[in-house]
Amino acid sequence: MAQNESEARHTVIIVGVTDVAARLNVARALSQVAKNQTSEQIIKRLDALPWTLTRSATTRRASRLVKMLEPLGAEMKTIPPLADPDSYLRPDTEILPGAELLSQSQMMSATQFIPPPTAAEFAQAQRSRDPSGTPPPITPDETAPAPVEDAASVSRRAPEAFQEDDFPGGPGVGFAIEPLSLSEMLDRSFQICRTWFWKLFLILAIPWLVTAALAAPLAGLFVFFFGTAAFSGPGLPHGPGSVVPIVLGSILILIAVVVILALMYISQGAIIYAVSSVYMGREVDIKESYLFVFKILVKFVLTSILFLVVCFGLVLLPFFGTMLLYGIFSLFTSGWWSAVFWPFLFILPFYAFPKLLLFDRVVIIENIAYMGALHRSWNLVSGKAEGSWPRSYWMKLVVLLHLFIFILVGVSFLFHGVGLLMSYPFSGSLQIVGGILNQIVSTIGSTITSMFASVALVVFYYDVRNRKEGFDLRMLAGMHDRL
Amino acid sequence: MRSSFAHGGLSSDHSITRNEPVKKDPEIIVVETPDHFQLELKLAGIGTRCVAFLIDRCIQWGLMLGLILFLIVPVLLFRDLFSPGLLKTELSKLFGQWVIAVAILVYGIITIGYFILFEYFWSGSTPGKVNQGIRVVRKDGRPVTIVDSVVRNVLRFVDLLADIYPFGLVFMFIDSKNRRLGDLAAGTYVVFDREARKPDIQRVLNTGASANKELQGTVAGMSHDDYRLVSMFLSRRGSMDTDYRHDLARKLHERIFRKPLSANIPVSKIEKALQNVAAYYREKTRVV
Repeated sequence: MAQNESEARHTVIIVGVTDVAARLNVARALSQVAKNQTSEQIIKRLDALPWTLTRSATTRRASRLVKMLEPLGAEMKTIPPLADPDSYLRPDTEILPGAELLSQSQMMSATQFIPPPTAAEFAQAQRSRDPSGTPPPITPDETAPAPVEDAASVSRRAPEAFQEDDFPGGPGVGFAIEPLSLSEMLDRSFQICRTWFWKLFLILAIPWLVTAALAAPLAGLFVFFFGTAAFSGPGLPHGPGSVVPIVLGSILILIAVVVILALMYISQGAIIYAVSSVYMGREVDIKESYLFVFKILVKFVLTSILFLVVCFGLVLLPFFGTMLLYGIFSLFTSGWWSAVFWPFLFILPFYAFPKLLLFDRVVIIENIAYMGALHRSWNLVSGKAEGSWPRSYWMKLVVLLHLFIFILVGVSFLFHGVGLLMSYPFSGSLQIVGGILNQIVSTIGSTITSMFASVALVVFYYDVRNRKEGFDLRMLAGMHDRL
Repeated sequence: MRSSFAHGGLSSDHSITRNEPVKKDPEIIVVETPDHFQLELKLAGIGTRCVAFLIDRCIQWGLMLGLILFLIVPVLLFRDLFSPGLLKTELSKLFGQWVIAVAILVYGIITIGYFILFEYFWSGSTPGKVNQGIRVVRKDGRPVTIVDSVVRNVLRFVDLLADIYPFGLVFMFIDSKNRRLGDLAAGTYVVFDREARKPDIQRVLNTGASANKELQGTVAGMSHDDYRLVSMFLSRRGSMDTDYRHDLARKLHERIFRKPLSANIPVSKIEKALQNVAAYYREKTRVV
């Protein structure tokens, strides 16, 4: 022990650098081994040489530091052990003890240095890295020290479980699953929308494209059989013969509405599946997303209808409540005194609606349907998180929805404006063309905003699960099956 | 391989890179400083910028409200000095249009001047940006000049059309570097501006002396991923649902200690064991 301590007292100093290029090289080298020195600090310290790198290096580490820096143009000075008996007590830059751990992580109260690898170690590392023998380019990541674990750093780091090489879709696919702040959730949503814009857009646009594809030939057939009177002029022809197109048209419209609604549900489910796939580190596959939703379509549609019924009930509840309260108050005093309690009743739907909003994510991602999905959504959006405002999950979702409305208004405003401008040149008999153009542009705008809303809610859903259930930790630990 | 930022990498968000080609990360920009150093900066996301803008907007509305109150209160206090007829006729004839002009000017100063002044004097930050930890920098990574700030903020009128940021949003979405029109014109970026974390040596606990053989053996067999997992669990367990927390604690314990856990061991004991493991690992590796 005493031997080790006496060895650990070499002082290594940079006394000079040969030229500007050398200064740059030395700074680069130091930036890779120094932990708590920013680039600016390193440059400043190189500008104000001499710089005592360490006062407690072992002979081996001191010589490795010198061997690393001298070829780069640094003029090094090493003071042997016990040259200054008290110097090792001074808090200054140090080389970490425990060489076997240094390549993994290091963090101390002063600058730490990873001992530069020996030629043999370097060659061995290269071989283990690349069996073909081709040395890969060294990025800062490979030499960077291990991260410091705290809440702030955790929130900005990609877990190992989602290294890019693991993603079947190739590099760049997938995001770190981790607890996010409100603004980070929005960032992540925009990032997902941007990265997979066309695929996600197409998923939501398919119902409209199908509708257009069906409507155009049907309208053509309609005109072919019954003439253009149905679309222009005084309207549908009167008389006994006019009943056929009316009935046929009504049936077609009914079928179209059902088809569109079904497609809308499927596309909503498909985009949830697609975004979840992205989150799980896979590529977006439109066909796979649609096929997945087809399998649980009945369950999904029925749960959606149940959600609508519950929402309708929540809206009606205050009205019945006010009438009931009015009646009760009328028994004792004026019924209008019950008005004091009315606002509380009308708050109820606003409180309950966000709590049920994650039901469709629950159906698609967790395969829980009907009341179970609503109950699960309610549970997910209840409670409080740690961290910055808003802490309540409900409040976080409400703020997110309001931010989304702000974004929605901006995007809709722009697309409607563009649509109006495009339809402006068309007048007279071509007015219908302008109207169609306006409608197309507006639909594109609303599709983009609904895409963003879907993505943002999936991001929120995973955030809640990460915080409340440690979903990301389970993924990291390999305890959780992927979607 | 992702960028150093994504992995935590160096302690600062701004780190020097080597000259070797690095895979392009859309969220990271590399700027070259005047002394030919390459500086990595993480771009602020659209959501972060939106939130920062809304915070600034709230402050601006507060300022405007304060100004209006400042002007109205004296009139209300001293309304007896003015006859209503005089106020309604003579003053409005004299100053009516000027008042509107001055109001527009003040609105412009508050909405645009606010950003220009703060960005210039606060090295590219405004209160909203400070709250979100972002700031504006030039393409070379240096703080914005007054000219840059004026250019990017005057064009805010275009981005901010009808006060709902339609063009700004669309431009930021289209541009891979999240720049709105003003940023493109002024040649600026909005980047995260995190302070380099200072290591907290207090968190390095002295458990080494009391560590038993089993703990030493367990820690010796731990990978850094294991440590991260345990560390993240310990830092976030407070906000987890009880059932999930207990289940995760048990599974982590089994993973770290590599042996099945009896069902009757209380969770508090399991978490204490995980705490000890994390603390001892920190001490052994000097990770804080």
